[in-house]
Amino acid sequence: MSYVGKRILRTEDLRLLTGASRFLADIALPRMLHAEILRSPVAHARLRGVDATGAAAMQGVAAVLTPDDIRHYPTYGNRHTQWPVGDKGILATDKVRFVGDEIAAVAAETPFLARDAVERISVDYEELPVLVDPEQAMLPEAVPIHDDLIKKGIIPGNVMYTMRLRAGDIEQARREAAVTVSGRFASNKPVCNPLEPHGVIASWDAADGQLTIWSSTQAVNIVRDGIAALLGIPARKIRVLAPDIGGGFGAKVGLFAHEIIACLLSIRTRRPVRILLSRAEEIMACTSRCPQVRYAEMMLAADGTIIGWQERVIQDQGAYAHAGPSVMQLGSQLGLLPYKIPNVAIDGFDVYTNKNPGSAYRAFGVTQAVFVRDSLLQMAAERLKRSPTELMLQNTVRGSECPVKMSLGQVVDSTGVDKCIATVVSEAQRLGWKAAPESLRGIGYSVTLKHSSCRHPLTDYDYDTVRLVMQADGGVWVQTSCSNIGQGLWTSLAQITADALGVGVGKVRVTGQDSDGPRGLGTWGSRNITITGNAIIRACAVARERLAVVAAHLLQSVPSEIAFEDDHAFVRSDRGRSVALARLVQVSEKDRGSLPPDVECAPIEVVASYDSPTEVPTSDGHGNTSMTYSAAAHACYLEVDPGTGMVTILDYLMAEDSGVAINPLIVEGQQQGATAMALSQVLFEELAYDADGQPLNANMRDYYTPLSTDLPNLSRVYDCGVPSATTLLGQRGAGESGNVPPLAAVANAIAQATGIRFTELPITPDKILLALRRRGADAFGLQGTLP
Amino acid sequence: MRLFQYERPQSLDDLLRQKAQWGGRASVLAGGQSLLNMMKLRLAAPEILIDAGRLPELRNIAVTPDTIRIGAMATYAEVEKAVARHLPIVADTIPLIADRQVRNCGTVGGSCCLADPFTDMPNVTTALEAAFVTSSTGKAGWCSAADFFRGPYEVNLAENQVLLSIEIPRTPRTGSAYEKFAWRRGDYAIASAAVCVQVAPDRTVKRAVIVLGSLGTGPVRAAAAETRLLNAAPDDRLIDEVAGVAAAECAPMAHPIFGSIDYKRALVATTVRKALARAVARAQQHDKGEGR
Repeated sequence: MSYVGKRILRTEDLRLLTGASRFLADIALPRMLHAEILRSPVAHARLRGVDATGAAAMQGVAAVLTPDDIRHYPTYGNRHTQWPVGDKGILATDKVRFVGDEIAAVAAETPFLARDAVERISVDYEELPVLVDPEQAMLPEAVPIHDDLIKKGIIPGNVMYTMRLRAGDIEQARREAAVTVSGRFASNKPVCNPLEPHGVIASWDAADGQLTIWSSTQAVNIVRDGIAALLGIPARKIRVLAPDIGGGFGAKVGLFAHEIIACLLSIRTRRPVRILLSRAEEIMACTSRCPQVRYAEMMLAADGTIIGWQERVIQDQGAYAHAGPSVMQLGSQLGLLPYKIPNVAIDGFDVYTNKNPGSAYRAFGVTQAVFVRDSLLQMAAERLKRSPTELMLQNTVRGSECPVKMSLGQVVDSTGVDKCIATVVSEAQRLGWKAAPESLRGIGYSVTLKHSSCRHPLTDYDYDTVRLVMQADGGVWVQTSCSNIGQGLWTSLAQITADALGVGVGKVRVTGQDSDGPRGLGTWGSRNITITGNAIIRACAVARERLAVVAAHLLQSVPSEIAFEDDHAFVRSDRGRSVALARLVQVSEKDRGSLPPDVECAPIEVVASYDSPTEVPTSDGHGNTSMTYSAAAHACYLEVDPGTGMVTILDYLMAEDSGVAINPLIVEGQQQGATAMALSQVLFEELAYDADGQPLNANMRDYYTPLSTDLPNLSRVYDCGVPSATTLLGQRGAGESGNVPPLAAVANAIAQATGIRFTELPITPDKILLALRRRGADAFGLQGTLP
Repeated sequence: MRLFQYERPQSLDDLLRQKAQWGGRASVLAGGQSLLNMMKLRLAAPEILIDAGRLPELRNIAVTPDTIRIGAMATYAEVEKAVARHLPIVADTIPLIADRQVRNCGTVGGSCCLADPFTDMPNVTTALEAAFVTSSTGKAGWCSAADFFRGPYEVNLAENQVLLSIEIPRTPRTGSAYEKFAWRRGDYAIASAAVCVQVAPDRTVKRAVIVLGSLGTGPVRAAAAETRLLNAAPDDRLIDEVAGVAAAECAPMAHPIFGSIDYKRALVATTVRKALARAVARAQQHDKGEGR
């Protein structure tokens, strides 16, 4: 019986669907306090004073934390990308830099009291000019947002990171180009907004000097290492665990202020302290996707070959770095795939503004870059009077030429990306899709090769670790260093384990999200199925070797003759000679007399790591940062309502290459979910700010999140999987590739339907209707008849 | 949320007595689908919450040839079930209010008393020229919808008064319709129009009420559009024209997320045109006097 490739139901779902799961808010410890955070109501100001005496005097308040209490601690940065070294304080000490910045915190007997007390803290702000537009913020005369870092010479101004990607000779491409298309494109600022907001419980054990932290995080080891470094507590005395996690999408990667605040309050009060962030805090202060302005130019030869790509990228970083610089660099580099473009010049500027910081979001920065690229591709096709999909295929790397080194150094090991494009094109034809500008109907396409594992700039490591323990009943426990955030990871990893050891999938238990377990990076970047999956395969191979020695001894054979299947070990040449795995484990652990003379009693317990064979990108952006790349090509068929500007997606096609799909049911679900999220981004979603840096929609009434009734039928998923040549099972990530193509696919379809090219996201119905009106193409020809 | 005192009166008299006692310090809890959310966000913080959920007399719905009476505590789901077949505008409206869970708890009366300018029932009751029946200790009251809705979150209800029921008059050869537009199904409307017309046997319009919702101000009647309709026999061209008049005369507020004044104006034309066309068709179908 083999399990890889089977559509088995997710083992996680029963507990999730029946309310038996246990999230952070379900945990209550004896004597636990509840803390609330005072966040800045202004976007940019110097702190003249913070007076918390009123709050501290309230009955039921156990502790108050103010800027003075944390001044002696170092600042911290992002431990995911290592840049910059500390631009964030635990609390704002001298300045607040966005609405939502942490200023103080109160721990009290009830959450109500804590909130009341927080409202009693008075703060004296000296307000400063506010920067919400990155192009304004990068001007030399703009008010500095991180004055301290500028004074120390760490950054020159609000431009906190610059990037330069080069390949070939862009000037030569410009001279040789028969056609160039260009434009200014601006992407938007959606937030991950997981169903479960961020939250933490910290519990300080004063007797042992030990700290236990439950946090809704995608990376327990980042939190542990960060807290240790910051608070000066030995890492061995800190344990970080995540209970059930209600979604992550990137927003729960990294160390967050509320996690540190809970620790400090628990140390101060010697009681457990819980902080549950509200929906408003989640939306306004827990990072977002990085919005970018991209001035882009595509240069093509007369035959449609893309010969040059030039871009000036300005990223709206928000108030702190988080993973933003890496988002810009990797997104720009990988956003060129799967097109073979020999001459590339991309200059990027990551700019501080007074907003919720940008950071990781499903598919990292690839989504922003591909929106621009495939919008321009369709514009080029119009100029060349060619079909856009023909142009797409012409420039796409073929599976048959792999492995191929692309111009910026990525090695495409193998790929089904060309098959993905061909599939959506032929399916759209078979289904009879017809573009009809007279009835405002259009078709659009887009394609991606998205990384699956990643060596980030400045972090020369990309590993995970597993610990595998065989049980005396023939079961297997696999402890991992990653987090199960709703993606069905435990099910997929159990399928891999089951096949590698020849056990039933029901006998495998997978766990993780506990820093007392094996060391590893965590969950992001479609890296768990590849990196963690490979680590499991390694661990299983070692376990098999040890089991084979015992089995050969018991079955009077040699280890090389032993194979494993159906919970048994058997002799290849004589399948009748077999022994149950359970017996092998029992003998290994507790029956020295039955073991070969040179083998001691020991559990079958194996620790194995896997680090991806990838490269840190060089300063000009070259390098193979991912061990393999997942493909997705999408086609969108839509109609625009001339009376309201609403877009109705009539049909939608998703072809994907996730390599060998460990569980096709999960792979399809991930493609659908990633697509739904991106459709919402391109058409509606944005955390909006006014000129004063006030968030306008940090609530679920005004922040658009689609409901199931707002999504189109997303059942058409086509498996174009080609096994990866570098991963051990041929697997590739599946959670993010679907988030990339919807933006350009929708924008291109709207362009075809309306004749209007939208270059600023989101393309909301009001923008569409008013643009239609300007050209007299709305429902009434209203141009003349309405004021 | 802030801490509050919770009361659950067992009779209408008790409810009225408590409301008289605490006045503005107390809020009446109907279905709780809006008030509780506002309390969680600390936008509302009543010291006392008087739960009217145990008073069956406030939940009655009575349909007679002349009137439809909806008890203040009748839920959306109950109103849809009992009234939609008599009053198609209810079938237009209620399925597009939030989701099933909200409709099972939320009440028409509660929604009207809150008077959120982006909700639906204030527009519908204004178009139907409903009467709002109120009571305070020992004293009954009454006012028209036009008088009841005074502005965003503001209704004509004294601190000691409670809404008992909403009474909708039924007249012959009358049709009404509601058209709502939002980016999400069931969401608060970005634009909406509630229309009620009464036609003569010769198909000319004898009475017209056109209510524009979601302008940011609470329900507003489009007087010029109504006048244009009176004594005319509506066809497609006239309906388009009336929609244009309504769009021109209204004064929508811009919304930072859901669109500019120009956008809202365009949506007013779209929603009025659709609602008016449907209301006229219903009036003509129902010219035997079987309700609206």
